[in-house]
Amino acid sequence: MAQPDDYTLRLTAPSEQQTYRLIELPSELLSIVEDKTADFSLTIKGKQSDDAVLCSSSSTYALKAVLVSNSFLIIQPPQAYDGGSDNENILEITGQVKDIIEVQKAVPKLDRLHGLMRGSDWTADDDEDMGEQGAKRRRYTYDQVSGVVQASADELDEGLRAAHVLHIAGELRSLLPSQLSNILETILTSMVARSFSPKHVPLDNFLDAMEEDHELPREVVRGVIGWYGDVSEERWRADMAGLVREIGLGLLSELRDNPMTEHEFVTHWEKKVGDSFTGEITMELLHGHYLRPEPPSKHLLYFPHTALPSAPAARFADLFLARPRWLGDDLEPFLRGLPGGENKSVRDALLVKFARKSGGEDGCIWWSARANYT
Amino acid sequence: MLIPLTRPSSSSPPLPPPLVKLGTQLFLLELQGSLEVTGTPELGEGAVGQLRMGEKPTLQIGHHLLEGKVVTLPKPLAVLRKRASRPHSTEPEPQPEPEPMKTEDEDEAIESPTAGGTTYEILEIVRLKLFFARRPALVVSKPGAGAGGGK
Repeated sequence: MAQPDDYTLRLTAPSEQQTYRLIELPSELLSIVEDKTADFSLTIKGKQSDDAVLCSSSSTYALKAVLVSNSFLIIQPPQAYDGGSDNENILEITGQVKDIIEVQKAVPKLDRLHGLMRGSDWTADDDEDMGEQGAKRRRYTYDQVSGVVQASADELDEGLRAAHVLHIAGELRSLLPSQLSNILETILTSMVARSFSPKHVPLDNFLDAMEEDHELPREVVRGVIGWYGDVSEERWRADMAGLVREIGLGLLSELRDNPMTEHEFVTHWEKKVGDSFTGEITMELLHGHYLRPEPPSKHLLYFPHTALPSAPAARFADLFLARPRWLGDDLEPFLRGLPGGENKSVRDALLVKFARKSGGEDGCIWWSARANYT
Repeated sequence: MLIPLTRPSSSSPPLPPPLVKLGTQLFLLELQGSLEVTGTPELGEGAVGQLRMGEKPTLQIGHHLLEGKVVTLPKPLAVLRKRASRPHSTEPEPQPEPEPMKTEDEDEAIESPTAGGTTYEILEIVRLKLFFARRPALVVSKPGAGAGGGK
């Protein structure tokens, strides 16, 4: 009697009712879900008090539940045959949904990482003081950290690297800038002393040398060199510029207590790096981390772009507080950290929005704060 | 905590052929308002209405006839089903936040990495929905067998 296109809708028994959610898929996520061959990794992350985020292996997405006035019924064929003869024309309402989860690409929330890593510094005499203070110290594993830091695996790895966090004996331990500088200087000394070529450092020999000559654990050195160049099973191709830059950054951060002129600074830097690698030194490596002195002062100023706000308006306010007017080229490195700031057209658009352009006597272009009367 | 999303593990029965364009295992039906159900229907009893998939899909609930259409969703939707850690104890009313509130320091608390084994299973990606947007028309004489236990 029933036509083939006729279906009886019925409710499922309460015991079979399920919780369903509907989630919007942006095209990037859609391709991850639909690509049956690729590694499938989507995870909702965060503490209960957080706004939930969804992480793929490389990106973070903010989730927002939006209430809709209509309701969505989820209709399925019956899960089990229960004897009815016209069973094929029965459909079951297995769930009712009143909200849709919107998904939007977001920046990873790495701030929590710094809080977690506080007090986990690795020191060279680490093993000895474990006894007295070990019990009090907070130590986290990678899995624990990745569960509460709302960032994808790739972004978290990048964040750990930027925060100089090592994996030691299954725990995450941060390396203080001063410790890092010491280790890097030791690495350079060793490379010269044992005449390793930076392009091809035999990994095992090198780690042995560091352990014998400087009592630095293999795990620590192995972790540190991974941040500068690529490390394979048997060799390390060192990124000397990156290594020299890191030492330079360490020195720059000391300028606060110990002011220097640019010339003094470079001399100091060369001394730290050693004769063999002074060729790598150029102030360009440190762009975006210092300011050249303004006439009355002769001292180089430590001014890291990483300490500036990441919201454009706040960053421009801070920049013009530090200097009332900037040359375009000087300003550029400080804009790179803004969202989309690697792109020149984005930077130009931001400049037009937040700064005022004026020409100088000698044809150079100055940017100053845009008066904001609103 | 981490709540992984998974691909479907169990294969549910597929939709009957005329409905397959809406989805393979399930489809979405959008209604204005919501479906209010009083009482707890026993298995096989809770018949709601008749869905007729002709040129124009219609839904008859009791004496009300709704006319609908197939609409492309602005963005594809994934239908997720929550799976608790204990697969056989299906609590009728799973609270969204079942664990008691803990007083904790912002940075120091580390919860167990997996949220009690909860996962969300992606059952289906739907691109179309069956949308009943109009107000229902009243049907005085029920054509055909109709829905016996309709509300």
